[in-house]
Amino acid sequence: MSDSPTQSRQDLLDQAELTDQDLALNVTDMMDSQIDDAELFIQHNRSEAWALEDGKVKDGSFSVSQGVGVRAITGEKTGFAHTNELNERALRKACVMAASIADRGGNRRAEAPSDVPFRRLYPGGDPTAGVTNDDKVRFLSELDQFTRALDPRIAEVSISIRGSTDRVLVYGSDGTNQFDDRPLVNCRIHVIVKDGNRTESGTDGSGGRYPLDMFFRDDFATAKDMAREAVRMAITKLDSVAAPAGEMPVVLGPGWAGVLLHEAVGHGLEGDCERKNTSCFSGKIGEKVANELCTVVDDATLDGRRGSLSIDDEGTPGQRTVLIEDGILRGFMWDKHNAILTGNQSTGNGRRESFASLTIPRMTNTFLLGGDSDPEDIVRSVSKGVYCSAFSGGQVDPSSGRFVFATTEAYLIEDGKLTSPIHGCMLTGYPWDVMNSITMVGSDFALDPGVGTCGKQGQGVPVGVGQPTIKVEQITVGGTST
Amino acid sequence: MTQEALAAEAIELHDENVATELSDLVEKLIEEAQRQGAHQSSATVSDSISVDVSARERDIENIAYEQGRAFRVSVYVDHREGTAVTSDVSDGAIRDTVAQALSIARFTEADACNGLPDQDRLATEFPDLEQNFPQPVSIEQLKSDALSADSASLDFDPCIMPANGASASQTATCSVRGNSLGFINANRYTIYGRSATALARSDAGMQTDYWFDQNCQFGRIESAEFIGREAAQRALRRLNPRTVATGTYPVMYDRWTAPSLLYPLIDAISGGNLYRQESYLQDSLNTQVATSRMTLREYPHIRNRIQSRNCDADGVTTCEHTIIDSGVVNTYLLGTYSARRLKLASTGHAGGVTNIHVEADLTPIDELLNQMNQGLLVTSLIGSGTNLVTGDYSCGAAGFWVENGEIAYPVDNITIASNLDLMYKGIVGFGDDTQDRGTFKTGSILVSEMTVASN
Repeated sequence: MSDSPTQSRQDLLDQAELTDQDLALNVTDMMDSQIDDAELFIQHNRSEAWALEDGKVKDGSFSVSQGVGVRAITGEKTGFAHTNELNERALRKACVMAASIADRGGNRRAEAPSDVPFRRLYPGGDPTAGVTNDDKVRFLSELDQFTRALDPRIAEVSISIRGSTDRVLVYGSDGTNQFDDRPLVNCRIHVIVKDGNRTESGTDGSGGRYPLDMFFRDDFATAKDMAREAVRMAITKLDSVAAPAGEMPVVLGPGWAGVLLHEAVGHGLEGDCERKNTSCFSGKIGEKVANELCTVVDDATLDGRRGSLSIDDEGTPGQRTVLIEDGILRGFMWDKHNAILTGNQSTGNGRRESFASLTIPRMTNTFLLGGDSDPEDIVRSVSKGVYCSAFSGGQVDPSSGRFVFATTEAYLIEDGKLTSPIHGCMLTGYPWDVMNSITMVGSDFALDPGVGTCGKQGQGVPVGVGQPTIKVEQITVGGTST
Repeated sequence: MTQEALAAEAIELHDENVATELSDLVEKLIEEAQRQGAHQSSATVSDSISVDVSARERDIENIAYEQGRAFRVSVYVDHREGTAVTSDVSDGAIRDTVAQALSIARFTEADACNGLPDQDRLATEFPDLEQNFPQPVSIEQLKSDALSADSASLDFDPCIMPANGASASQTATCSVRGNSLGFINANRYTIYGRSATALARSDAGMQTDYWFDQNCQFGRIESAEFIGREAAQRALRRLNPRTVATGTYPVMYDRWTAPSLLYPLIDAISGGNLYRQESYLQDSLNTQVATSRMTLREYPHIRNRIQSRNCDADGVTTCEHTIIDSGVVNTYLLGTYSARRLKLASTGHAGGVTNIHVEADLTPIDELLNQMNQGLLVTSLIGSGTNLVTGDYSCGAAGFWVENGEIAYPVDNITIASNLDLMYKGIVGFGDDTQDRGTFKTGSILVSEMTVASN
């Protein structure tokens, strides 16, 4: 499916009825209005989705979104205009509006070299190419039949697949001139099971920046594993009892539980919080913020992962940034704007939901590195607590640091053994309490399967999380049983 | 257009002809869909213009201008459905987008429930709901509003620190919906908004909060100064939180968090969740699901309100409903498709609900606090921990501990948990401190008991 980046870049400009000369001219004109920095972001996103429910492939949609976002920066101020009308006239108008932020003499910023080399972490072109619509429909129908045959208690199955390609061109007055072609696919299976008067649900999904064809290989092997997992989760929950309430030891399973780090430390380490001094981690570089067993990184450079970026949305190559090393706070995640204002360097974390949103510092794939403990020993070390293996998401208030995340599959631990499954519930804590009370880190590091979306200031972007099995000595479990 | 002129000038809004222009586009889309072989089709085109100005540390931080147009077309061929969406409105794109929708429809399976609403359900009368008040507001005005709100917050108290600032915004939207049964409706509305965030700092840590208001009339939004002060006050009162002992207590949702208590009830009787069996209120029509003290009535046509509408997303007429009658489900909330799946008639709820009034015997708020005596007053919720399938509820919360009917101290880092069925049936009081800001018109709501977990 790989088209050459040069050709794809030209296609993007052609679709937008723009030329390289138009970009250069408009940026030069904006700089004449005495601003520090001007940037154009041209985007063309094409996506399609197919969904099955009630045994029928009844939903299909196709969507195209394209436009240009223009940013003009002067000191701490940003002028931003975007339009989905793509032509020279609309671009010029957007540039004039964005540049109207100028209110003082320009301090032109240092030139960045154009075309900084970077490694392409995923193939370009349409990730759904090579899979016909007939294939997609057959995939959904066969998977539905396969899933329903797994257990007689299955009452409803819904399955969706989705694929998109996102072409972005970043052109800036600092010399930036970068293009990226980002594929993104995912598959999700959701089941409802019924037994007597109990009803429960189970979900599994996976995805990343690779061809949709991945789900179709080996007789749909990956998707069938997901179906088994969704059904297993739902059936398990049929026997669940009330979750306990109060502070207790919690063991978090590998992979998805990394959402804890994403909420507890990730958001507070985004550079805008640091610049505005609104993070509970502000000014704490070099200080101990977590147990020495904890090393946390943000890594955009993993091949084909959902949160990976060859370049970020400001054209900076994706990087691996150590945030916490052996418990010591080492760094923040920066976009260009916040980095320049604070005398830092962009770490390739400048992201935007689309051309219609302002770039802000965001995570990519954020995870806690593996340790030495045997995961079974970790569970064995708890006499009374909770083991959580699946999560639906979380939220944080970065200034107080307080975060929550919701489990969807969890068990009681009694005398070192997993016993009854429990109802889903919320966990809550403060990062310094929780990160310092991580006393065991397992050797079974895993990334999540690739279905995470992070929301911040109303913008959703795909991200990854990960961790090994860990033990948190004390965290508040929000069940009903006291 | 020079920059100086632009800044002083009022923001360019839609001209008078925008509705006609978009209606022509909708008709063109439907014609093209029928020409390419659709048996039925519907289309929506919307165009919006907005400006958002934010201020921080007593200076302008961002000015964002948005102009966007997008269309969506759905086609039906023998009850097979295909949908396509694009932001490219050129003639070529119209042809291609319709072709994409039809190509999807060729591959999906027939579903007898698919298709346009029955002709007699479609809205035919469109009284002016008075939601469109285009007013020439200049960038200078928005800048001054954002700055005033930011300053009002910073000036309120020495504990308030510069943080994320304040903003003022204006949006004008025109959207036109039509279908191949001849239905067409243009809807124009304006939204003016002001918001402020505040960060309060003490030796014990930082707390943030925010305040906002929005209205379709510029003159009716709360003043920038009020917004800024309110944000500051809300952040300040949260400083130095304590914790409470894990246990079972009465919990009062204040008037601003009461809507999030009620949303899951609305979701649980909404068609999509019912036909997918994703609701704990399966087969609940005419059964008691909440306290008999509570009635929820919906009023879709109240003038000057952003939520009001004459027809739903399918074009079906909206009308007043008693949704919950003394705790009993009087109607499900159904769109055309979900109604057919459940073998019922659409209630005009494709796309959701409009204005819902909580109708109950109201207790003066002080008396309600006295009635609670000891318990938790929730003023902020974090995270979404509702399982609609089972009704299990667990949510992060912050607020105030109430002792002897009086607010004693702020509490934070706690969870509140129960089951929706128990919670709605366990509502024991409604405050008279009514607010009417969004979907729900409600005062504070007291739930007899929930589990509060803390460290």
